[in-house]
Amino acid sequence: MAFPNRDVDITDKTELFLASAKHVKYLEEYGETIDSYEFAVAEYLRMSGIYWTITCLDILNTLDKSKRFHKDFVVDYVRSCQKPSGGFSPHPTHDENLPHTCCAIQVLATFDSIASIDKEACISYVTGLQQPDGSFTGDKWGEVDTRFSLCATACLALLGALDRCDRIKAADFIASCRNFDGGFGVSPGGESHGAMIYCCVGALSLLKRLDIVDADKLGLWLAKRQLPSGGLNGRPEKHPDVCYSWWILASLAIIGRLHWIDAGRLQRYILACQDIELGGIADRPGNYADPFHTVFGTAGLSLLPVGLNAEPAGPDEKGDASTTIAPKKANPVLCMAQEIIDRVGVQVQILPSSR
Amino acid sequence: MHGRVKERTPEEKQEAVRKEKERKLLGFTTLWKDIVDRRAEGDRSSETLMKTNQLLAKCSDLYTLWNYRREILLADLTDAESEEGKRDGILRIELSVTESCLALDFKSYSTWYHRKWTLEQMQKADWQRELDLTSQLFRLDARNFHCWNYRRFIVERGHIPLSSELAFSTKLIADDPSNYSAWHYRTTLIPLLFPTVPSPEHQTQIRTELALVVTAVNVKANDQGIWFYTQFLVEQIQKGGYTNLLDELKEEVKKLYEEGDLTAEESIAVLHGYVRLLLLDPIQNLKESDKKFVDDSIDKLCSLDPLRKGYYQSLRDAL
Ligand SMILES: [Zn+2]
Ligand SMILES: [Zn+2]
Repeated sequence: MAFPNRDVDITDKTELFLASAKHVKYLEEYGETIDSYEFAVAEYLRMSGIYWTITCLDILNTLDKSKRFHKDFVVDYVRSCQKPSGGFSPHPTHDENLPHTCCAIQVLATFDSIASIDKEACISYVTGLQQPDGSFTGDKWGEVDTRFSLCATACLALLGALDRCDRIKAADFIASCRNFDGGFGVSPGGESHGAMIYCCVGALSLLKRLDIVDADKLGLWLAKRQLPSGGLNGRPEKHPDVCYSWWILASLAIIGRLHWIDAGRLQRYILACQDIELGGIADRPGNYADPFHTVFGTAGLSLLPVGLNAEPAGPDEKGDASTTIAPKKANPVLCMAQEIIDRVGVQVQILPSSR
Repeated sequence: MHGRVKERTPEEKQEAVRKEKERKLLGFTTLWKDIVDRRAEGDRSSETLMKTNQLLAKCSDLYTLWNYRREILLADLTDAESEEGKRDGILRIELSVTESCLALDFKSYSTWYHRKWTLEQMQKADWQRELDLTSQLFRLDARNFHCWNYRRFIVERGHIPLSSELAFSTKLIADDPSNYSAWHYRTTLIPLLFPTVPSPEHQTQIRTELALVVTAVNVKANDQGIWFYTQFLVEQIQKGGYTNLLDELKEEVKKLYEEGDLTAEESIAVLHGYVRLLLLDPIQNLKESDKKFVDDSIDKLCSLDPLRKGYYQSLRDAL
């Protein structure tokens, strides 16, 4: 037997609608409702948490109505995390690094507030982390990983400064991480992995260098991630997971092979991972939800070419208008609403569909 | 945030659980604030170094603490420069710290990186010991990609012979033919071990690989890792121009499809593998009967594996 022991069972009873209002409530109250100890420990992820949350609220059409994630409050917080190096930390008491710098810029772009920070310092921080081989380190301590290639290129693109790094070498490094199966790993020689493939394909898309990708070969590997439950896994023989659904799905969208998997089944899987009671989306059905899987699940749904059913109105609800609006379409490279990417003026390369 | 099944705390226990969490929270935030203050004051003491251990044991992803440790260590190492062996002594303690953190959580990027950093600072690192450590961890999780990346680093810095790594991969595949990480590893090793193509040595190795694939596919015909590896094998055969090996492979797969006692899933995998082998030839070179076989097989694959219908249909475009 190949998959069954790694896959999950989705019963036919699964309700096929996006519980938007529940998710919005869940995100707005997250931090007050979850375990306070875990929330305190996770301070080292705070900037990412803000990015996941406001992006999800934006995709669900409610960010402008949010009280907790009000623009002025969030922008002030982000500004308080910029360090003398120009990079951003997740929280003022933690150190700056490339992933959180990228999240900070994504948050600022969402709120149309990039002008409120020292942009030049941020650009030099990012370009200063590029190595002679074109790779990027995550911070001054020197860890190299293809995830940082996406963080750097995404951040620079949003700052309108992609030409400030060595784009040829940046693409060469990613090419050196390409494998026999068309996928990419963390560094040269690393096994293909859904998250790193997304990072490499995304960075190449920003660099307009998708010629480096063998789309048919990679497309097959990505299509093989779909399990009978409809969910996608990140590597062969692994269990399905909503976040992998995003990494794999977005990669397929970028290389024009989205139609190589069953979109309807994937939609069903993601919807089955919702916590219908308390809101939020989990990695797998029946598990605890978290903002990370909630944003990647929602953004994933927005990429699928199958319509979502409207949430049925409860017995004493009139049906809140916000719950019936379809999620905004996300950009497959940057995982932010496409309208923001258009406003900032970032162009990504998307390969034409193979048929 | 992964794999945590939702459960409820019974009413009567909720108060006790809440109190315990509050105590944990206070302990954590007090210690964190203390360390942050010490760092701001430029404290580089070994007492502070010890304090960070306590928090890293709770959460090894607190990368800022690893950064702080490195700041303290770099100062200590500069002082130790003159004394023979003292430097490595300090760093060996650091290795035991990361080792105990890995025992609690071996999926933390920052712990693995700190261990690499530590080894790079050492004058005489024990690379063989590190290699053995990864082999041990693979017994718990043979697919852990952090551990694989670390092993590649050890092999490179420790000048571990690649031929013994190929043997290691063979052993892992013998234990479990579905170990995709081990198959992947071979694809990175073979081009380095046999840089001259074509050559008798390369051809001999590729023949061995062909036998390995044929054995594996007969044991576990629906394992996708083996079929992906077959793509690599085919590319190596084509690079070397070893046409007889390609014919042999086609024959074996054809035989398995026609005569093997296959489950529904296995027959999808084998048929797909066979179709891909037939499509390696330019269409105009395909016999009419093979062309028809491919066309019929695509219909069959679409109905047997409907999730990937779009992919199978794209194969038809090649016809
Ligand atoms: Zn996940
Ligand atoms: Zn998972």
